[in-house]
Amino acid sequence: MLFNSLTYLLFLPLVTLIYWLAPQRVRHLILLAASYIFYMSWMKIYGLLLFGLTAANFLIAILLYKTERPDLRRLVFIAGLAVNLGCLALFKYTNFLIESARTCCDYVSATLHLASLPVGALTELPIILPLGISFFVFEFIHYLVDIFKGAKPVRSPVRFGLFAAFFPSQIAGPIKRFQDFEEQLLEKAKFDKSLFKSGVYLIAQGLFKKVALGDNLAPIVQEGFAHPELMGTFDAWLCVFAFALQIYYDFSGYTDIGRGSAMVLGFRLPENFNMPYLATSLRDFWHRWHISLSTWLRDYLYIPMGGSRKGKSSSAINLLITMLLGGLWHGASWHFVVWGGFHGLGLAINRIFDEAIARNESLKRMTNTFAWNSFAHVFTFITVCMGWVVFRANNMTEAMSVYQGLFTLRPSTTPESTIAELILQSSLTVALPLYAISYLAVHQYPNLCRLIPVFSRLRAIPIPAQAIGLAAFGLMVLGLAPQKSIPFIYFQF
Amino acid sequence: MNNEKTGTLQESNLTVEDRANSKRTQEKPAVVSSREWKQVNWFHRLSKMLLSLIAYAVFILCAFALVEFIFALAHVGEDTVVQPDPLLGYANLKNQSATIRQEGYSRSHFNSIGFRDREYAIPKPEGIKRIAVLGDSMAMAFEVPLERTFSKLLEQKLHQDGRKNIEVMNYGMTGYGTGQEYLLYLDRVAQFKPDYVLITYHLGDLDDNVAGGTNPPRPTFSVAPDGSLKTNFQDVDSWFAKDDARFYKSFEWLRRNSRILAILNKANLNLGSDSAYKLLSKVLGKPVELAWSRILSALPAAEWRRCLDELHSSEAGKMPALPGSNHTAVSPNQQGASALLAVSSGGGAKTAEAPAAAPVPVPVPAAPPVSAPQVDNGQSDVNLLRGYLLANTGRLAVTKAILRDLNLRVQANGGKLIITSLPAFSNSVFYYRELDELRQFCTEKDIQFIDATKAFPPREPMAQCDFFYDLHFNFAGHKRMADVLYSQLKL
Repeated sequence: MLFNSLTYLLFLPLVTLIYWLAPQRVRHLILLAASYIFYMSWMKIYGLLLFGLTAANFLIAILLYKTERPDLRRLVFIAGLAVNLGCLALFKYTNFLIESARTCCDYVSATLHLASLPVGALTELPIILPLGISFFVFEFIHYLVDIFKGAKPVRSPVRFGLFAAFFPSQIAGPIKRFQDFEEQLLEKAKFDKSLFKSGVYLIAQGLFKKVALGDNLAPIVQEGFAHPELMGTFDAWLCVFAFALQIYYDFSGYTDIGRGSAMVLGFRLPENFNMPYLATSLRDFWHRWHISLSTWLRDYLYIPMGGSRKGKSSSAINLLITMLLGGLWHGASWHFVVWGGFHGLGLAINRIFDEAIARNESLKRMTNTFAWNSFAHVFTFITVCMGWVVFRANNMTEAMSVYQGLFTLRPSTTPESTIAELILQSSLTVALPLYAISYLAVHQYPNLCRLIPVFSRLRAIPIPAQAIGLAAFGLMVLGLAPQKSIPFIYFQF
Repeated sequence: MNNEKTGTLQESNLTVEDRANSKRTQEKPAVVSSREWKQVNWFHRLSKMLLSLIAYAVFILCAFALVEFIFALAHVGEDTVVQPDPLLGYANLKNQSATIRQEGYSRSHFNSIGFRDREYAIPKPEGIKRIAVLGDSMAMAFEVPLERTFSKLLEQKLHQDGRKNIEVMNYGMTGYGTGQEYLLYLDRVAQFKPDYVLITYHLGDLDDNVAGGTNPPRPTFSVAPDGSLKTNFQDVDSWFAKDDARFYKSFEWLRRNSRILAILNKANLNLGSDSAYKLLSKVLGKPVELAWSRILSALPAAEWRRCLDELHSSEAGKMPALPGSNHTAVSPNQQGASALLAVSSGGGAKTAEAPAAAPVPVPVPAAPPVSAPQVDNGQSDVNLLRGYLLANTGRLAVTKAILRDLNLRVQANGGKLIITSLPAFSNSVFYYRELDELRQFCTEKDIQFIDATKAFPPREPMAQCDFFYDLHFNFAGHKRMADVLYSQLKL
């Protein structure tokens, strides 16, 4: 059940209605059932996997909490991690390992003129990646680590089940923290009209981002990356920028719909994005992009490895390892590892540069100027885009071909429409300015009211009028949507 | 006295507002009965409600007008191009602009006879030679801009080599079979006196000529035992008598101009197979459908009949009186079609060739469903194949009869018929068999046959091809097709 499908647009109001009408004591059960229906609508059998992992983690956490002997606790903890990581490895990385081993063996046997090594005959297994496994496994790991550190486990299986399966964040996050979520579960759910309204508007915003912007950018990017050798320099840059926007609108659109859905049910999920392309450094970028993952990586990988406590070189290595693993988390493919490495290296250089600035007064003054800030915005965006090339390409050869297009001056040789033409032909010519205007209008609303007082009355628009406005908005999204519906990019992770 | 004076003085000191207030207070009855008060309250409420309703109606209009405006800016919802046609089943809207983004992209304008081309002069100017390209969506080529369709690329090539007096006219129409193309020629193309009529033959044309299956339905064709071609308009006529036709007619203005309606229509088509949508339409759609049906049936029937007759006569009015072959129209209401086809008994000069060349009467058995469970039917694969081949042969006889008659009509109009095949998937074995038969037919009738399939690499199903988007030619495909026609056309 996709967030941008009609089924979900019927499912959510129905669940919301039942949830708020039901007595307090059964509400969590209703949400749990709805979450499993949501998950199993894709593939029923994987509902068992989710249930099995939830049950295992629930029991391991209680055992961990009750075990007092440190060596036994460590053993239980490692067993818990092994269950989660083993499951992730089995479903996500088995074929990747087989393929890598086979490529490696082929290379070795070809180089050394040996007969084919036996591992070269290994074929990939027919494994279908369970939706959202990377996200809920990370939530389980966070839970076990926190319990290991001394936090109290969740006592109610329903509450814990809901933490793992909560449908607004089940498939692609945001990665929740159980302390925050349980606190909301323990509170008596009260219908908050303003939270509900915010939720509805967030869903509408997310739909627009995903359907009218992200999905319209997708075929353009697809066309460019399918034939990178035919793209001219201008088209190559346009294509890379288009992907930067596509992935942002796609993922932040998903997050908006997820967070909005949680809000209409009276829950608050953590924010995942904060205008990431306005970052002034890579460090800043990771404070704004996929925030729930970057904080998870920081708390459960970078800091446990030693963080920046053991000196500069150790800190740089830790950053690199964290980001390499972060890259691998995104997808079982080497180009994701390279993408992670690119960001790890970038962050390490960023750290060294920041330390240099902190030591040098003249550098500090220079970096406080408007010109430097503008340069930093542009430079960071371009750097992030360079990373997106490896992320989007299907393999390194394709990525290198795109880089070649970016950095060698050449005209477009495609017999079909160029990327620029494709952009002009799409409804993005209207959808993008429309989004920019509404974004500015919403964010500059207080200033707008000060300038034109009549705008302050907009707050008091009656509910039926808002509903009509939303219907018209829905129609607009439907019209601006491309012919084909495109799945969320982060669903594959 | 003093009191009176004082009172007057006091009164004179009152402001205008105070006076008005005091007057209102004086006018107000001291005691209002509860009934009267209820009435006043009720009136107040009603007027307030009416005002709110008006305000909401204005708000709705404004909101939807804004959406229409945004759609107009983005050129979305501009793909409504088809209208029911009493002769052809369906045809393009005339003088309509359209933007297509389904496969590729184009912004087009349909001319005054509903074709994706510029206007052409009638009568044909002196010294001008015309090639009319007839075909289905492959010829219409909605996926690319008009100047990049193979018709226009061919025209450009001919102009480049000095033959600037040649006009290549695009009469392609989505989903048309050879039969509809034949009727189209008679009804709309012949008046332009094309010197060459280029029929693009494509996979599926054979079935389109004998089977309906479209909405609105199309006329179907069959071969009579004496070898003459029969056109059946019964499905078309009965469709025109239905509520659907009334709906189309009544909402033509909206269909032409409302992008919102077009978007909803598209969504309805796209979501047709979605289970949630099916459920929703069952629950909500049925009452709406019922209401529509009531509204439509309330429209004056006589007025509706008059509209239809006007439509028929306007189409039939232009029909050229050409010497005909032995062609009859089987349709009780289709007078226009009968006139067009110039029923042989009515004086159309029957050529000697037509009956003589007519093939041995072949019945047209219905094709067995290809995906039918073969073993369950108790039929062996060989029998099934034999049955299919028989059906295929029958359908081919119909197509040949259509082409035979079209050839006669084109010749009588001073033109020459040319047939070109279009590439199809490599596993379309029956199609390639049809092409062999057509090639032979063309040799017999001295019609030029251009086999363009050989100029394209074999196209595997479900595989990307350099010359196609999903189903239709891309820029490279049109260029290749234009090259083939340019090099092989004997003008």
